[in-house]
Amino acid sequence: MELSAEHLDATAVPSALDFDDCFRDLFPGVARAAALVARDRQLGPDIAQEAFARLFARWDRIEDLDHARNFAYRVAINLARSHLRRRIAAPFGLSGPEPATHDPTASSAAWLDAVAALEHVSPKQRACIVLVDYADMDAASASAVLGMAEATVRVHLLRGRRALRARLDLPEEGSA
Amino acid sequence: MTDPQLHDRLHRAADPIDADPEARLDALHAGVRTHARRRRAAGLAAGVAVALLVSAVAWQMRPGGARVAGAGSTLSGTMAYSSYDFGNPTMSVRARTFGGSDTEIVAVINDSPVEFSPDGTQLAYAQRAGDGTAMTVANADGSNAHEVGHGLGAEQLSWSPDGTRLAFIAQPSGNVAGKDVSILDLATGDVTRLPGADGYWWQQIAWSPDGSQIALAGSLPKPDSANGIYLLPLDGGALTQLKTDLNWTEFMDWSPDGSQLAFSIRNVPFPADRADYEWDVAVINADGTGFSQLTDRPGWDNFPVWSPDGNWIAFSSDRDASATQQQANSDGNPNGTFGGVGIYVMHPDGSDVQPVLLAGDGALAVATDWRA
Repeated sequence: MELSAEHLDATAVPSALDFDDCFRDLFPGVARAAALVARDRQLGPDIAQEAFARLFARWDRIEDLDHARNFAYRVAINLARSHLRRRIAAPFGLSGPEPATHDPTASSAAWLDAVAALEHVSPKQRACIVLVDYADMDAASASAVLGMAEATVRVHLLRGRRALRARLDLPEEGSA
Repeated sequence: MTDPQLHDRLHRAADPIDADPEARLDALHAGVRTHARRRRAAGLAAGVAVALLVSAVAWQMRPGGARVAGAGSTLSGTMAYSSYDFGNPTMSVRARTFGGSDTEIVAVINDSPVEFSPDGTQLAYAQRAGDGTAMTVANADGSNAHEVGHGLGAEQLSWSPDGTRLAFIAQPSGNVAGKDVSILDLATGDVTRLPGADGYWWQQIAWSPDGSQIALAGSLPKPDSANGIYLLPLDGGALTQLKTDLNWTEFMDWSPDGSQLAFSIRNVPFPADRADYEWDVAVINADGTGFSQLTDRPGWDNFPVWSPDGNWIAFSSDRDASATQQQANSDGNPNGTFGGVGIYVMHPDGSDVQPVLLAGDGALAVATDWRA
């Protein structure tokens, strides 16, 4: 995204205070959702910061908090998926700019279990699950963020949850 | 709508992640102010550059004005390249012979690049197979493929100059502290791990043409992430970083005479805006001197590969992609595709850039090797 100097100049942003409030409200959730999608706990906050930098650049065109939230999540999820694509393609040279972080001292068992399980769902399924089951969006909001039909989100959720629950040793939905 | 058990597991996993908004907010505002100043300076510089360009064109158009043609040498040999479609994430590895055929070598490989043996008669690659990765050697046309190593965790490999061994990067099972560099003897199957290169996150490997050292691209694990290209002497000498003052370097390839390395450089720190999009191609002498950046455009020029005669460097670029695709590439792929990346060649001084293979939106082609 090209950023114009006018958009980047803090003095030209009409409601910097609102942006800051929005940032404080949304940043932790966006960062952690990005970390889950990228399966990299340190990359998540970096991705979220990039997403909010882009949000800041177009702040004068943001209509309300929902608009801001959808934009931030959309960019962050895309960046996280982009990171994954590069890692997937790494073998023929398309590796990402940041290596995967393996810091056992900073990784809880819950994180390691979740990351290992998330590896076994597709990137789209993972994005849908993270938005709905982590970020508490409904399918309609997730579809708006991901740019896919609500019915498609539901299909990804159904299949992704089934695979994820199996990997996490959770009982089949409805059988518990 | 939310699955309560998954909700609980995901929150237990992710909520401990440090995402302090106050520190990040300060950093964002500071970064934005710096970026704005730089962009204003860049705009001024661009204006000066345009004025100089107009002057240069005017000079060439006036009667008697000189026009220097490219140095010129014929493209020859066979280039192995990977064709990738992000909409249908499978990779086709093909071989293009200049002035001749373009044939598929392997239909689907989702792992390492294909590397021709030094004499061009064989190729090798690593591929996920069942419970691990297998190194495979085949004839140059893809026939007679056979495994030469299984369960070694090989990810990237490079032939020895005499074609008898494969050096490879591997992450041993259970190892969370980096990747090893080892050598597989093709005749005996013996594997020798090279000391002195542990603890790094190696991403690429290239054996020097004289066989004396191995170039490695990678970084230490964060937060000591000192990314770069390193040289590992095979006589037991110490690992040394080739050049330390570059932001991010990867994807190197030796010149045929071993005197230079071509590599990719990313000038914009991640996660700054466009950081992951701003790649250029550079060369450097094997002793760390003579650094020269060959491409310099706002976009994606990456993955250099030397021609066998040393007169060309192939690289991948989105310079001819549609504006929509370039914007998508720059924006972090909002449409879910990264593409419009074709293969180009240029002389080692950056002159005479020519397209070799153009790719459409959502498609990507990367040269991985080039043999006579």
